[in-house]
Amino acid sequence: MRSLGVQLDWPRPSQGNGLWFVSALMASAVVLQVTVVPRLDIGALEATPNLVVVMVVAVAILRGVVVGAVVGFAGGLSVELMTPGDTLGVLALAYVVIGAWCGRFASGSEPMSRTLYLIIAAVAAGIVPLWMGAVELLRGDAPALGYLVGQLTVPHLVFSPLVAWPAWWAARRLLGAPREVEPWLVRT
Amino acid sequence: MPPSPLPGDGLSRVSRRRIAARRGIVLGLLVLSVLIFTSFFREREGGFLHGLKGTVGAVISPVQDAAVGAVQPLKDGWNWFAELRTARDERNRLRTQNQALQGQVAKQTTDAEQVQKLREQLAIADAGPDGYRAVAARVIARPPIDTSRRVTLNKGKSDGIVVSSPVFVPALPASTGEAEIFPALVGLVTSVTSNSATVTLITDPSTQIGARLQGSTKPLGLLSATAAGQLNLSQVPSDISILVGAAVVTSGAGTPQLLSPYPPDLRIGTVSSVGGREPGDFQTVQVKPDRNPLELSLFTVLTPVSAEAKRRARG
Repeated sequence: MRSLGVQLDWPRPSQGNGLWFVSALMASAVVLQVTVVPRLDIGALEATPNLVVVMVVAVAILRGVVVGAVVGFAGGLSVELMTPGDTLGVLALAYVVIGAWCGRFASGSEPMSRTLYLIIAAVAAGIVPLWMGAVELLRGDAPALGYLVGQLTVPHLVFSPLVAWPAWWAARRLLGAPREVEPWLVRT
Repeated sequence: MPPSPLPGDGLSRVSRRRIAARRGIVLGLLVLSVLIFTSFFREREGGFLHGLKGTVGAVISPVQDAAVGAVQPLKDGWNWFAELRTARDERNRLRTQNQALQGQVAKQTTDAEQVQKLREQLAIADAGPDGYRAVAARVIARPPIDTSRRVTLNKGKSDGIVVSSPVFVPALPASTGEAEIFPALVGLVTSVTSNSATVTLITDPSTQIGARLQGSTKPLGLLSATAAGQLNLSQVPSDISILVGAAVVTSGAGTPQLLSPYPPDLRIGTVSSVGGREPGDFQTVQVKPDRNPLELSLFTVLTPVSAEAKRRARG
């Protein structure tokens, strides 16, 4: 990128599988989610965006079902290990499903529009609190429906797109066009 | 946008194997996730997965602590900007002031808030119960989804914090007309590492606290939290007259086998409503905490010093 006579060396989109870039993107998202993002509560609802789930959606759309499921599992498990909640594996399960489902779009014939990505990321972010509430219900500690929807689901649904666009921009910049990557699967 | 091809006629043998392997990996990850979360729920507090979570939390807590310090100036700046937006007219009148002066005012505002918080921390340290030492601590982590009401603090064993240390914040409720800051109970330390501690807040559904009315010697019963974060006293004999607005404190009583970790006479909240007749001449009392612990960033942990306090912490 050349601007005002200054050469800026952006990382070039990966020509290979781009799995190092995938790892770097997910690691950055997890570290930011457990350190900086909780301090950036937005508005009167004190909502914090879910950076990890929007990054899982972006990576899955660009690299397919297998990569989406694996980064979903790793991202969800990492966040739960690093935060003080009384669950482990619950977020990982949700993110595996989200990553695998979004990965189906990687093999589409046309590139996904940014708007559609933002909608999918917002819905995914909104589903996560409902899933957590369902798990709490199974454990006998169900939060009130009004609290679950008004204080958790809606803020995540509304505010996660704020971080989804930068996540999509970074993922597109580093990973390039969508393509199905299955590095561990049979090749012959 | 069409999804990936599904297995069917016309797919090569290699494609079918790829699809089967892909599904196998996803299914394997799902099964692994289910195994982890069911094992985590079933195992005891000191089990392998809980230990792993505690260890990772201890490793990451210095980073989280540093992030709090790094982000705070940005947050203060944002708050300052937001306050300016709400006072647009006033800002227009003050445009003649130079940028340096505005920056100075913003910094002084931030400093004053910090001083006020520290004064409140000092006040609570003086007002706390005997036999405990007050340790001020900052919240460095919260659950990603607030269905469980726990927070992580930046102080741990190295500061004398042990499991079952009570946790407080300063409170000054306007509704009761009280003028003095008093310590308001917000939770209990439920796990601790060398440099961090996890606090289960009183609004967590697992909470149970022996409670009574302030000034009374008769225990009301066990106070517990609902999933919505409200506090309830159930099985309260209906012959006890309870007024809305009455202060509720810890009774300090446990069971003959198990000592309560909460020392007596610690303020919990005020009665918000009385009602809900129960079978057998009992009533239900709703209690509103003096401070919403989820909105706070500075806590005071009471670490046991006296033999009595240490006995309570051991349970």
